[in-house]
Amino acid sequence: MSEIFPLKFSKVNYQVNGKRLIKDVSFEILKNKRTAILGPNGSGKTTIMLLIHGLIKAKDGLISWNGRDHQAIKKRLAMIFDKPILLKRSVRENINFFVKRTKVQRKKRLFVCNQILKKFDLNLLANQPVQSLSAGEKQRLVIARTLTLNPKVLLLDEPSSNLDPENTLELERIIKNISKQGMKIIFSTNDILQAKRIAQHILFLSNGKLIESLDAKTFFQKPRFKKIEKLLRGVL
Amino acid sequence: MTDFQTAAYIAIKLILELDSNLVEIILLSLKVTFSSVFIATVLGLYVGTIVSITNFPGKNIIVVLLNSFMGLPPVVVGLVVYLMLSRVGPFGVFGLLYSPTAMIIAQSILITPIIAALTRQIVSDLWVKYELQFRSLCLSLKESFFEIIWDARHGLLTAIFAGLGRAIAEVGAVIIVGGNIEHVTRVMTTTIAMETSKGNLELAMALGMILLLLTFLINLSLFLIGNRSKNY
Repeated sequence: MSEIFPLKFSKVNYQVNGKRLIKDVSFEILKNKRTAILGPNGSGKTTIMLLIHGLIKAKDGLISWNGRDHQAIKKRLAMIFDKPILLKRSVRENINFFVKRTKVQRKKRLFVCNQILKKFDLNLLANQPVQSLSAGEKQRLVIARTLTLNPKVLLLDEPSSNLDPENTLELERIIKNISKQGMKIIFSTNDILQAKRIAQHILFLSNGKLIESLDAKTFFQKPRFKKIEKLLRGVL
Repeated sequence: MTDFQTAAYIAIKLILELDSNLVEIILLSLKVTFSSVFIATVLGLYVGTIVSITNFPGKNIIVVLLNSFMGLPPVVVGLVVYLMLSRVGPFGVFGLLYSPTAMIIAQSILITPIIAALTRQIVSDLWVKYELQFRSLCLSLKESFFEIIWDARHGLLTAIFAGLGRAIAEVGAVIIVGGNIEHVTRVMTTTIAMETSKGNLELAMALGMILLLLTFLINLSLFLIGNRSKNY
Protein backbone atom coordinates (compact mmCIF):
# COMPACT_ATOMS: atom_id res chain seq x y z
CA MET A 1 0.00 0.00 0.00
CA SER A 2 1.47 3.34 -1.04
CA GLU A 3 2.45 5.98 1.49
CA ILE A 4 -0.17 8.67 2.11
CA PHE A 5 1.93 11.11 4.18
CA PRO A 6 2.87 13.92 4.32
CA LEU A 7 -0.52 15.59 4.41
CA LYS A 8 -0.13 19.14 3.11
CA PHE A 9 -2.43 22.14 3.42
CA SER A 10 -1.38 24.98 1.13
CA LYS A 11 -3.10 28.34 1.60
CA VAL A 12 -6.43 26.70 2.36
CA ASN A 13 -9.46 28.91 2.82
CA TYR A 14 -12.95 27.87 3.76
CA GLN A 15 -16.01 30.04 4.09
CA VAL A 16 -19.71 29.58 4.78
CA ASN A 17 -22.25 32.25 3.83
CA GLY A 18 -19.47 34.77 3.29
CA LYS A 19 -17.89 34.13 6.70
CA ARG A 20 -14.29 32.94 6.48
CA LEU A 21 -13.83 30.11 8.93
CA ILE A 22 -10.38 29.10 7.74
CA LYS A 23 -7.93 31.75 6.56
CA ASP A 24 -4.90 30.93 4.41
CA VAL A 25 -3.91 27.91 6.43
CA SER A 26 -0.77 26.04 5.40
CA PHE A 27 0.88 23.19 7.27
CA GLU A 28 2.36 19.76 6.87
CA ILE A 29 1.55 16.68 8.92
CA LEU A 30 3.96 13.77 9.00
CA LYS A 31 3.17 10.14 9.63
CA ASN A 32 4.90 9.26 12.84
CA LYS A 33 3.68 11.78 15.34
CA ARG A 34 0.35 12.17 17.12
CA THR A 35 -0.95 15.53 15.98
CA ALA A 36 -3.17 17.79 18.05
CA ILE A 37 -5.13 20.60 16.51
CA LEU A 38 -5.32 22.94 19.46
CA GLY A 39 -7.28 26.12 19.87
CA PRO A 40 -10.13 27.82 21.69
CA ASN A 41 -13.78 27.31 20.76
CA GLY A 42 -14.60 28.74 17.36
CA SER A 43 -11.00 28.71 16.19
CA GLY A 44 -11.75 26.36 13.28
CA LYS A 45 -10.56 23.02 14.68
CA THR A 46 -13.59 21.01 13.57
CA THR A 47 -13.54 22.66 10.15
CA ILE A 48 -9.89 21.65 9.72
CA MET A 49 -10.76 18.07 10.74
CA LEU A 50 -13.62 17.94 8.23
CA LEU A 51 -11.33 19.37 5.54
CA ILE A 52 -8.70 16.75 6.34
CA HIS A 53 -11.26 13.99 6.02
CA GLY A 54 -12.72 15.49 2.86
CA LEU A 55 -16.24 15.79 4.27
CA ILE A 56 -16.14 19.43 3.24
CA LYS A 57 -14.19 20.89 0.34
CA ALA A 58 -12.02 23.98 0.40
CA LYS A 59 -12.77 26.46 -2.35
CA ASP A 60 -9.26 27.97 -2.29
CA GLY A 61 -5.97 26.29 -1.63
CA LEU A 62 -4.74 22.76 -1.95
CA ILE A 63 -4.98 19.75 0.33
CA SER A 64 -2.86 16.82 -0.72
CA TRP A 65 -1.85 13.45 0.65
CA ASN A 66 1.66 12.73 -0.55
CA GLY A 67 0.81 14.64 -3.69
CA ARG A 68 -2.58 12.99 -4.24
CA ASP A 69 -6.05 14.33 -3.58
CA HIS A 70 -8.52 13.05 -1.02
CA GLN A 71 -10.35 10.69 -3.38
CA ALA A 72 -7.33 8.40 -3.58
CA ILE A 73 -7.08 7.81 0.16
CA LYS A 74 -10.59 8.39 1.55
CA LYS A 75 -11.14 4.74 2.45
CA ARG A 76 -8.03 4.81 4.63
CA LEU A 77 -9.39 7.58 6.85
CA ALA A 78 -11.83 7.26 9.71
CA MET A 79 -13.32 10.00 11.80
CA ILE A 80 -14.84 10.14 15.25
CA PHE A 81 -17.05 13.16 15.74
CA ASP A 82 -17.29 15.33 18.84
CA LYS A 83 -20.76 14.05 19.70
CA PRO A 84 -20.86 10.25 19.36
CA ILE A 85 -23.00 9.35 16.36
CA LEU A 86 -24.56 6.07 17.37
CA LEU A 87 -27.11 4.13 15.39
CA LYS A 88 -30.41 3.48 17.14
CA ARG A 89 -29.51 -0.16 17.61
CA SER A 90 -27.78 -2.40 20.12
CA VAL A 91 -24.06 -2.20 20.90
CA ARG A 92 -23.40 -5.36 18.86
CA GLU A 93 -25.40 -4.07 15.89
CA ASN A 94 -23.46 -0.81 15.98
CA ILE A 95 -20.20 -2.72 15.71
CA ASN A 96 -21.59 -5.04 13.08
CA PHE A 97 -22.65 -2.03 10.99
CA PHE A 98 -18.99 -1.06 10.75
CA VAL A 99 -17.73 -4.62 10.27
CA LYS A 100 -20.05 -4.85 7.26
CA ARG A 101 -18.09 -1.98 5.66
CA THR A 102 -14.86 -3.97 5.82
CA LYS A 103 -13.70 -6.88 3.69
CA VAL A 104 -14.43 -9.38 6.46
CA GLN A 105 -16.39 -12.33 5.08
CA ARG A 106 -20.01 -12.62 6.14
CA LYS A 107 -19.47 -15.80 8.18
CA LYS A 108 -16.52 -14.29 10.07
CA ARG A 109 -18.35 -11.10 11.05
CA LEU A 110 -19.78 -12.51 14.25
CA PHE A 111 -16.31 -13.64 15.34
CA VAL A 112 -14.80 -10.20 14.60
CA CYS A 113 -17.68 -8.53 16.40
CA ASN A 114 -17.18 -10.66 19.49
CA GLN A 115 -13.44 -9.99 19.45
CA ILE A 116 -14.01 -6.23 19.41
CA LEU A 117 -16.62 -6.44 22.14
CA LYS A 118 -14.19 -8.34 24.33
CA LYS A 119 -11.19 -6.15 23.54
CA PHE A 120 -13.05 -3.00 24.54
CA ASP A 121 -14.76 -4.58 27.51
CA LEU A 122 -18.20 -4.18 25.97
CA ASN A 123 -19.28 -7.84 25.89
CA LEU A 124 -21.63 -7.51 28.86
CA LEU A 125 -23.35 -4.63 27.09
CA ALA A 126 -23.50 -6.32 23.68
CA ASN A 127 -27.28 -6.55 23.45
CA GLN A 128 -28.08 -3.29 25.22
CA PRO A 129 -29.57 -0.44 23.21
CA VAL A 130 -26.94 2.30 22.91
CA GLN A 131 -29.20 4.80 24.63
CA SER A 132 -28.67 2.97 27.92
CA LEU A 133 -24.87 3.44 27.82
CA SER A 134 -22.96 6.02 29.83
CA ALA A 135 -21.00 8.75 28.02
CA GLY A 136 -17.75 6.86 28.58
CA GLU A 137 -19.19 3.58 27.28
CA LYS A 138 -20.60 5.37 24.24
CA GLN A 139 -17.21 6.86 23.40
CA ARG A 140 -15.56 3.47 23.90
CA LEU A 141 -18.09 1.91 21.53
CA VAL A 142 -17.52 4.64 18.94
CA ILE A 143 -13.76 4.00 19.02
CA ALA A 144 -14.21 0.21 19.03
CA ARG A 145 -16.44 0.14 15.97
CA THR A 146 -14.27 2.68 14.11
CA LEU A 147 -11.19 0.54 14.65
CA THR A 148 -12.88 -2.39 12.90
CA LEU A 149 -12.31 -0.37 9.72
CA ASN A 150 -8.56 -0.62 10.35
CA PRO A 151 -7.93 2.90 9.06
CA LYS A 152 -4.45 4.28 8.42
CA VAL A 153 -5.45 7.63 9.88
CA LEU A 154 -7.84 8.17 12.76
CA LEU A 155 -9.30 11.65 13.17
CA LEU A 156 -10.84 12.43 16.55
CA ASP A 157 -12.75 15.67 16.90
CA GLU A 158 -12.70 16.75 20.56
CA PRO A 159 -12.94 13.14 21.67
CA SER A 160 -13.24 13.87 25.38
CA SER A 161 -15.69 16.77 25.21
CA ASN A 162 -18.45 14.71 26.84
CA LEU A 163 -16.31 12.75 29.26
CA ASP A 164 -15.45 13.06 32.93
CA PRO A 165 -11.75 13.13 33.96
CA GLU A 166 -11.59 9.39 34.62
CA ASN A 167 -13.04 8.47 31.23
CA THR A 168 -10.87 11.12 29.59
CA LEU A 169 -7.71 9.46 30.92
CA GLU A 170 -9.02 6.05 29.81
CA LEU A 171 -9.66 7.46 26.34
CA GLU A 172 -6.17 8.95 26.21
CA ARG A 173 -4.70 5.56 27.15
CA ILE A 174 -6.63 3.96 24.27
CA ILE A 175 -5.45 6.67 21.84
CA LYS A 176 -1.83 6.15 22.84
CA ASN A 177 -2.17 2.37 22.42
CA ILE A 178 -3.71 2.73 18.96
CA SER A 179 -0.95 5.11 18.00
CA LYS A 180 1.73 2.65 19.15
CA GLN A 181 0.23 0.07 16.81
CA GLY A 182 1.08 2.33 13.87
CA MET A 183 -2.15 4.22 13.27
CA LYS A 184 -1.75 7.93 12.63
CA ILE A 185 -3.74 9.96 15.15
CA ILE A 186 -4.95 13.49 14.48
CA PHE A 187 -7.17 14.94 17.17
CA SER A 188 -8.61 18.30 17.99
CA THR A 189 -8.93 19.68 21.48
CA ASN A 190 -9.29 22.90 23.40
CA ASP A 191 -7.72 21.30 26.46
CA ILE A 192 -4.08 22.34 26.49
CA LEU A 193 -3.21 19.79 29.18
CA GLN A 194 -4.66 17.01 27.09
CA ALA A 195 -2.60 18.16 24.14
CA LYS A 196 0.46 18.13 26.37
CA ARG A 197 -0.33 14.59 27.58
CA ILE A 198 -0.90 13.02 24.18
CA ALA A 199 0.38 15.12 21.30
CA GLN A 200 3.78 14.98 19.68
CA HIS A 201 2.99 17.67 17.15
CA ILE A 202 0.81 20.72 17.69
CA LEU A 203 -1.11 22.87 15.26
CA PHE A 204 -2.34 25.92 17.14
CA LEU A 205 -5.31 27.76 15.65
CA SER A 206 -6.94 31.03 16.54
CA ASN A 207 -9.82 32.71 14.68
CA GLY A 208 -9.39 30.41 11.70
CA LYS A 209 -5.68 31.19 11.35
CA LEU A 210 -2.80 28.86 12.00
CA ILE A 211 -0.64 30.48 14.65
CA GLU A 212 1.87 27.72 15.19
CA SER A 213 2.89 24.32 13.84
CA LEU A 214 5.58 22.81 16.02
CA ASP A 215 6.60 19.62 17.69
CA ALA A 216 4.96 19.41 21.09
CA LYS A 217 8.15 19.64 23.14
CA THR A 218 9.20 22.94 21.59
CA PHE A 219 5.66 24.23 21.62
CA PHE A 220 5.30 23.80 25.35
CA GLN A 221 8.89 24.72 26.34
CA LYS A 222 9.54 27.69 24.08
CA PRO A 223 6.30 29.24 22.93
CA ARG A 224 7.02 31.79 20.21
CA PHE A 225 3.88 33.85 20.45
CA LYS A 226 2.61 35.86 23.39
CA LYS A 227 -0.87 34.44 22.97
CA ILE A 228 0.38 30.89 23.47
CA GLU A 229 2.69 31.89 26.30
CA LYS A 230 -0.21 33.57 28.08
CA LEU A 231 -2.36 30.53 27.61
CA LEU A 232 0.34 28.26 28.94
CA ARG A 233 1.10 30.49 31.89
CA GLY A 234 -2.53 30.54 32.82
CA VAL A 235 -2.71 26.77 32.88
CA LEU A 236 0.71 25.55 33.93
CA MET B 1 -86.82 -0.62 23.76
CA THR B 2 -85.85 2.54 21.97
CA ASP B 3 -84.82 2.53 18.30
CA PHE B 4 -81.22 2.96 19.37
CA GLN B 5 -81.32 0.00 21.74
CA THR B 6 -83.02 -2.20 19.13
CA ALA B 7 -80.48 -1.22 16.51
CA ALA B 8 -77.57 -1.86 18.87
CA TYR B 9 -79.04 -5.26 19.85
CA ILE B 10 -79.46 -6.36 16.21
CA ALA B 11 -76.01 -4.98 15.33
CA ILE B 12 -74.33 -7.05 18.03
CA LYS B 13 -76.36 -10.10 16.89
CA LEU B 14 -75.13 -9.56 13.31
CA ILE B 15 -71.53 -9.40 14.49
CA LEU B 16 -71.79 -12.47 16.71
CA GLU B 17 -73.56 -14.51 14.02
CA LEU B 18 -70.91 -13.47 11.48
CA ASP B 19 -73.62 -12.32 9.07
CA SER B 20 -72.40 -13.15 5.55
CA ASN B 21 -73.28 -9.74 4.16
CA LEU B 22 -71.42 -8.04 6.99
CA VAL B 23 -68.37 -10.29 6.61
CA GLU B 24 -68.24 -9.65 2.85
CA ILE B 25 -68.27 -5.89 3.39
CA ILE B 26 -65.59 -6.07 6.08
CA LEU B 27 -63.32 -8.28 3.98
CA LEU B 28 -63.61 -6.00 0.96
CA SER B 29 -62.90 -2.98 3.17
CA LEU B 30 -59.79 -4.63 4.54
CA LYS B 31 -58.67 -5.70 1.07
CA VAL B 32 -59.03 -2.17 -0.34
CA THR B 33 -57.48 -0.56 2.73
CA PHE B 34 -54.45 -2.85 3.04
CA SER B 35 -53.80 -2.83 -0.71
CA SER B 36 -53.80 0.95 -0.85
CA VAL B 37 -51.70 1.22 2.33
CA PHE B 38 -49.18 -1.22 0.84
CA ILE B 39 -48.87 0.81 -2.37
CA ALA B 40 -48.73 4.09 -0.46
CA THR B 41 -46.10 2.68 1.91
CA VAL B 42 -43.77 1.63 -0.89
CA LEU B 43 -44.15 4.95 -2.70
CA GLY B 44 -44.28 7.12 0.42
CA LEU B 45 -41.23 5.60 2.10
CA TYR B 46 -39.26 5.86 -1.12
CA VAL B 47 -40.18 9.46 -1.91
CA GLY B 48 -39.98 10.67 1.70
CA THR B 49 -36.58 9.08 2.30
CA ILE B 50 -35.02 10.15 -0.99
CA VAL B 51 -36.18 13.74 -0.44
CA SER B 52 -34.65 13.64 3.05
CA ILE B 53 -31.23 12.23 2.22
CA THR B 54 -30.51 13.93 -1.10
CA ASN B 55 -30.08 17.52 -2.13
CA PHE B 56 -31.44 18.73 -5.45
CA PRO B 57 -32.78 21.96 -6.91
CA GLY B 58 -36.42 22.49 -5.98
CA LYS B 59 -36.24 20.24 -2.91
CA ASN B 60 -38.04 22.82 -0.76
CA ILE B 61 -40.89 23.02 -3.26
CA ILE B 62 -41.28 19.23 -3.16
CA VAL B 63 -41.41 19.38 0.65
CA VAL B 64 -44.10 22.08 0.58
CA LEU B 65 -46.09 20.09 -1.99
CA LEU B 66 -45.85 16.89 0.05
CA ASN B 67 -47.05 18.68 3.16
CA SER B 68 -49.88 20.35 1.24
CA PHE B 69 -51.04 17.07 -0.31
CA MET B 70 -51.45 15.57 3.17
CA GLY B 71 -54.75 17.38 3.32
CA LEU B 72 -56.07 16.49 -0.14
CA PRO B 73 -59.89 16.64 -0.12
CA PRO B 74 -61.11 13.05 -0.71
CA VAL B 75 -64.00 14.10 -2.94
CA VAL B 76 -61.64 16.03 -5.20
CA VAL B 77 -59.33 13.02 -5.46
CA GLY B 78 -62.39 10.86 -6.12
CA LEU B 79 -63.52 13.21 -8.87
CA VAL B 80 -60.09 13.33 -10.55
CA VAL B 81 -59.70 9.53 -10.42
CA TYR B 82 -63.28 9.22 -11.74
CA LEU B 83 -62.43 11.46 -14.71
CA MET B 84 -59.23 9.53 -15.38
CA LEU B 85 -60.92 6.14 -15.28
CA SER B 86 -64.25 7.04 -16.90
CA ARG B 87 -64.86 5.78 -20.39
CA VAL B 88 -63.80 9.10 -21.95
CA GLY B 89 -60.79 9.51 -19.64
CA PRO B 90 -57.19 8.63 -20.51
CA PHE B 91 -57.37 5.31 -18.63
CA GLY B 92 -60.98 4.51 -19.56
CA VAL B 93 -59.83 1.72 -21.82
CA PHE B 94 -58.92 -0.42 -18.78
CA GLY B 95 -62.51 -0.43 -17.56
CA LEU B 96 -61.56 0.07 -13.92
CA LEU B 97 -64.29 2.48 -12.83
CA TYR B 98 -66.67 1.08 -10.21
CA SER B 99 -64.22 -1.66 -9.26
CA PRO B 100 -62.20 -2.28 -6.08
CA THR B 101 -59.09 -1.43 -8.12
CA ALA B 102 -60.42 2.09 -8.71
CA MET B 103 -61.02 2.41 -4.96
CA ILE B 104 -57.47 1.23 -4.25
CA ILE B 105 -56.06 3.79 -6.72
CA ALA B 106 -58.05 6.65 -5.15
CA GLN B 107 -57.07 5.67 -1.61
CA SER B 108 -53.42 5.25 -2.59
CA ILE B 109 -53.41 8.79 -3.99
CA LEU B 110 -54.89 10.07 -0.74
CA ILE B 111 -52.53 8.22 1.58
CA THR B 112 -49.22 8.37 -0.27
CA PRO B 113 -48.59 12.07 0.53
CA ILE B 114 -49.40 11.42 4.20
CA ILE B 115 -46.87 8.62 4.48
CA ALA B 116 -44.32 10.46 2.29
CA ALA B 117 -44.55 13.72 4.27
CA LEU B 118 -44.33 11.98 7.65
CA THR B 119 -41.45 9.82 6.38
CA ARG B 120 -39.61 12.91 5.20
CA GLN B 121 -39.96 14.51 8.61
CA ILE B 122 -38.91 11.41 10.54
CA VAL B 123 -35.99 10.54 8.26
CA SER B 124 -34.79 14.16 8.04
CA ASP B 125 -34.52 14.35 11.83
CA LEU B 126 -32.39 11.20 11.85
CA TRP B 127 -30.38 12.21 8.78
CA VAL B 128 -29.17 15.35 10.56
CA LYS B 129 -27.51 13.03 13.09
CA TYR B 130 -26.29 10.36 10.68
CA GLU B 131 -25.24 12.27 7.58
CA LEU B 132 -21.61 12.94 8.49
CA GLN B 133 -21.09 9.41 9.76
CA PHE B 134 -22.58 7.83 6.65
CA ARG B 135 -20.60 10.13 4.38
CA SER B 136 -17.40 9.43 6.28
CA LEU B 137 -17.99 5.72 5.67
CA CYS B 138 -18.58 6.39 1.95
CA LEU B 139 -22.02 4.73 2.05
CA SER B 140 -23.81 4.67 -1.30
CA LEU B 141 -27.25 6.22 -1.67
CA LYS B 142 -28.79 2.74 -1.69
CA GLU B 143 -26.98 1.74 1.51
CA SER B 144 -27.88 5.00 3.24
CA PHE B 145 -31.51 4.53 2.14
CA PHE B 146 -31.91 1.09 3.68
CA GLU B 147 -29.84 1.77 6.80
CA ILE B 148 -31.73 4.91 7.70
CA ILE B 149 -35.11 3.30 7.03
CA TRP B 150 -34.14 0.51 9.39
CA ASP B 151 -33.17 2.91 12.16
CA ALA B 152 -36.28 5.02 11.62
CA ARG B 153 -38.52 1.96 11.54
CA HIS B 154 -40.50 2.73 14.69
CA GLY B 155 -41.32 6.24 13.57
CA LEU B 156 -42.08 5.03 10.05
CA LEU B 157 -44.52 2.46 11.38
CA THR B 158 -46.35 5.35 13.02
CA ALA B 159 -46.50 7.06 9.61
CA ILE B 160 -47.85 3.89 8.00
CA PHE B 161 -50.47 3.48 10.71
CA ALA B 162 -51.49 7.11 10.25
CA GLY B 163 -52.10 6.26 6.59
CA LEU B 164 -53.97 3.13 7.60
CA GLY B 165 -56.21 5.12 9.93
CA ARG B 166 -57.00 7.56 7.15
CA ALA B 167 -57.64 4.79 4.61
CA ILE B 168 -59.96 2.70 6.71
CA ALA B 169 -62.18 5.67 7.56
CA GLU B 170 -62.24 7.09 4.01
CA VAL B 171 -65.61 7.48 2.34
CA GLY B 172 -65.68 10.44 -0.08
CA ALA B 173 -63.33 9.19 -2.77
CA VAL B 174 -64.29 5.51 -2.67
CA ILE B 175 -67.99 6.22 -3.03
CA ILE B 176 -67.33 8.28 -6.18
CA VAL B 177 -65.00 5.81 -7.92
CA GLY B 178 -66.48 2.62 -6.42
CA GLY B 179 -70.15 3.50 -6.72
CA ASN B 180 -71.09 1.48 -3.61
CA ILE B 181 -72.29 -1.47 -5.68
CA GLU B 182 -73.55 -4.40 -3.60
CA HIS B 183 -71.24 -7.43 -3.62
CA VAL B 184 -68.74 -5.50 -5.76
CA THR B 185 -67.57 -2.22 -4.24
CA ARG B 186 -69.54 -1.89 -1.03
CA VAL B 187 -67.20 -1.20 1.91
CA MET B 188 -67.82 -0.37 5.55
CA THR B 189 -67.83 3.41 5.29
CA THR B 190 -69.97 3.61 2.15
CA THR B 191 -72.41 1.09 3.61
CA ILE B 192 -72.73 3.06 6.84
CA ALA B 193 -73.47 6.23 4.85
CA MET B 194 -76.03 4.49 2.65
CA GLU B 195 -77.79 2.41 5.30
CA THR B 196 -78.06 5.40 7.64
CA SER B 197 -79.66 7.47 4.92
CA LYS B 198 -82.10 4.62 4.31
CA GLY B 199 -82.89 4.35 8.01
CA ASN B 200 -81.47 0.79 8.32
CA LEU B 201 -79.49 1.47 11.43
CA GLU B 202 -78.69 -2.13 12.45
CA LEU B 203 -76.13 -2.90 9.73
CA ALA B 204 -74.76 0.65 9.89
CA MET B 205 -74.29 0.33 13.62
CA ALA B 206 -72.65 -3.11 13.40
CA LEU B 207 -70.18 -1.78 10.83
CA GLY B 208 -69.64 1.35 12.92
CA MET B 209 -68.72 -0.79 15.92
CA ILE B 210 -66.23 -2.78 13.87
CA LEU B 211 -64.80 0.39 12.38
CA LEU B 212 -64.35 1.83 15.86
CA LEU B 213 -62.72 -1.39 17.01
CA LEU B 214 -60.30 -1.31 14.10
CA THR B 215 -59.48 2.35 14.76
CA PHE B 216 -58.90 1.48 18.40
CA LEU B 217 -56.59 -1.38 17.41
CA ILE B 218 -54.62 0.92 15.10
CA ASN B 219 -54.18 3.45 17.89
CA LEU B 220 -53.24 0.74 20.36
CA SER B 221 -50.57 -0.47 17.93
CA LEU B 222 -49.27 3.09 17.61
CA PHE B 223 -49.07 3.41 21.37
CA LEU B 224 -47.21 0.10 21.72
CA ILE B 225 -44.79 1.00 18.92
CA GLY B 226 -44.18 4.38 20.57
CA ASN B 227 -43.39 2.68 23.86
CA ARG B 228 -41.06 0.17 22.24
CA SER B 229 -39.16 2.83 20.31
CA LYS B 230 -38.37 4.67 23.55
CA ASN B 231 -35.82 1.92 24.31
CA TYR B 232 -33.80 3.03 21.30
